[in-house]
Amino acid sequence: MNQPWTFGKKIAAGFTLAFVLMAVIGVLAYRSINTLSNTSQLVAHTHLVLDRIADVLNVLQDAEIGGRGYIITGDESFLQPYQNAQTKIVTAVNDLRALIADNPAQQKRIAQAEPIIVAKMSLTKRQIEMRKAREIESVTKLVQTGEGQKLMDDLRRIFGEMEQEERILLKQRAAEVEAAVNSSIVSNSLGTLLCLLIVSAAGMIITRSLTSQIGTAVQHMQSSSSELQVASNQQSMGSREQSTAMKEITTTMNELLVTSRQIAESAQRVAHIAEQTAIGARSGEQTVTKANDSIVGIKRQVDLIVTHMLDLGKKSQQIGGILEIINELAEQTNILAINATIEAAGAGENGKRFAVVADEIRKLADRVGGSTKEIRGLIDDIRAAVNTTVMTTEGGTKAVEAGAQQFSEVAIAFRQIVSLVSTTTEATREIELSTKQQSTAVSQVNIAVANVAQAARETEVSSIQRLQTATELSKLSRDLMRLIQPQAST
Amino acid sequence: MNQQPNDSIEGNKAAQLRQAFDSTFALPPSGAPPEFEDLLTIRVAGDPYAIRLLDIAEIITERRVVSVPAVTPDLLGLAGIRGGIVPVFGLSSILGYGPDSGAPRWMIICKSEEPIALAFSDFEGYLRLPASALHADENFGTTRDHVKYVNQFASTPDGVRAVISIPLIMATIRNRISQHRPTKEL
Repeated sequence: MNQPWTFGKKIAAGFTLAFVLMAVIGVLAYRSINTLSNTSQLVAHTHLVLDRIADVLNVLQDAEIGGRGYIITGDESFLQPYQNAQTKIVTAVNDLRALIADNPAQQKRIAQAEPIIVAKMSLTKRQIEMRKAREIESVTKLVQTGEGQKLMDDLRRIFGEMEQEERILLKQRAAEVEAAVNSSIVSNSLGTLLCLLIVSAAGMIITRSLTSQIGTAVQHMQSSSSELQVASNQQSMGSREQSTAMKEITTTMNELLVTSRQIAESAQRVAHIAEQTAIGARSGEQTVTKANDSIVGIKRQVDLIVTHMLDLGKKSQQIGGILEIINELAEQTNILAINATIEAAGAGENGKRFAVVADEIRKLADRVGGSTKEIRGLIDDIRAAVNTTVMTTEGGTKAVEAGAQQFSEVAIAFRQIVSLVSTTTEATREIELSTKQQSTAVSQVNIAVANVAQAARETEVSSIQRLQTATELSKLSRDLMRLIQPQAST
Repeated sequence: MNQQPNDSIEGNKAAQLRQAFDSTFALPPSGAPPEFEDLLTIRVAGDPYAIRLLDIAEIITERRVVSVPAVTPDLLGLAGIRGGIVPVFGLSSILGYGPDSGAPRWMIICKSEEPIALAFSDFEGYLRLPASALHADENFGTTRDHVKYVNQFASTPDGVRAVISIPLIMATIRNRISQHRPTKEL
């Protein structure tokens, strides 16, 4: 709201004020000229009415002169003015009536004059006809009656009144014209003077304001151009340094490009080796899987061996049980034999043969007992061997299981190796691809850096140009300041 | 492959046994039988002993012994043998070794009017020795229990064995019983 007016606003306001004043003066002048024109038209109208009154009187005088000449001379050549007057009088009277249509008093007078004109023209026509008829005396008597003179006098009086009134109107309208002219002169002079004063004042105000603002702006421009000089100088130095840095960056980027290509080649070799490793790992995995299958088969066989050994142990245990029964039977037989021997001994001589039988039975039982002991020993050896075998086999089973587990782990490790090698291969390919992309990107960056270096050089050039421009601008601002404030430049 | 020889060995052994058994009965009985002494070889507390077969009436095994209150610690209890109730004494305790760690498996019925059983743990077998293989004990009569009831020694292929005198043990038991039961003799 309180912002200072811009130059455009101020100048527009000054021009608007001048335009308004000129418009007012123009309107006043137009009105004065219009009034003057109207008044002048009325004056011209009054002159025209006077001319038409004079025309009517002239036509009537021509008719009277012509008639009078023919009456006096009898020469028909004098009738020519009369005959012209007969034609013109109607037109003249009509024109006069049309001209005074806005004036009722004059209309009234023309209305009074028209019968008299008709009477005058009729009288003249009758005198001419009487002259043509050679009635000179009648004509002379008629003339001597003074009727024609009287009609003419009436007409002169009426048209004289009309002329008088028109003269009065002419005088009034002339005064109005003079008044309009004076008014126009006064208004135009005063308006022009006032316009000059106001425009001058506005011009002074605008000039002072513009001078002040432009001076301030020019001062700002001077300081800004100085700052711009400094900044352009700094920018020029910065652009120079940037150009140097860009050269170093270009060198580094070239080295980086060479390194990236070397990395890409190495990654390609690594990918090739990784593929070969993956093939080897897959082969190893297959071998391990086959070995694992073989171990599983061995484990199955060992399990069968263990089962058979356990069955053998059970069978030997059963044999041991049976042998225990046999041993017990042998022992019982031995006891029975001993008891029989005792009984036989108690029977005396009669029991001797029975004693022999009992002794043999005892011996047999002893031998059976010995045999059972041997068999027990053998069975114990077998059971011990079976137990040892079972334990060994179980150990072997455990070893096989451990081996199978280890082979499974080895297979898993091989799968992991395959997976990791595949991952490594993919990663290596990605590295290769990325490195190639990086090389491309580095090349693009190199081009971009070259462009940037070129831009830096151009910036340096433009900075120098800008510095020159700033210098010129500073000089221009000083010149402008000198133009605005001459005293300030001294 | 290796079973055939073993089978042949076992078969030979059976044939030998059969032949030995049959040959005994194939020969005619000899006229004057030699003097032999039949012995039962046992072990008491690991020591080898022998019992004369003529001193016992029967050897039995694995009979249930029912414990009864007794004044003598040697009495293990009572056992039912051949329809009768027989007192069972521990041979290890009688010989001075103390009671057996477990229930003795073997027992012998002493030859007497009132049967008495002596129980022991280890029975080794039957042994027939010539009478000349038996020797009298020079230290007989000492106070040591396990020697007190030994009056002979037998020279066996496995070494010398002390021959337990069953009659002495029977007499001792009878004396002990009579001491604790004065109103009635055995």
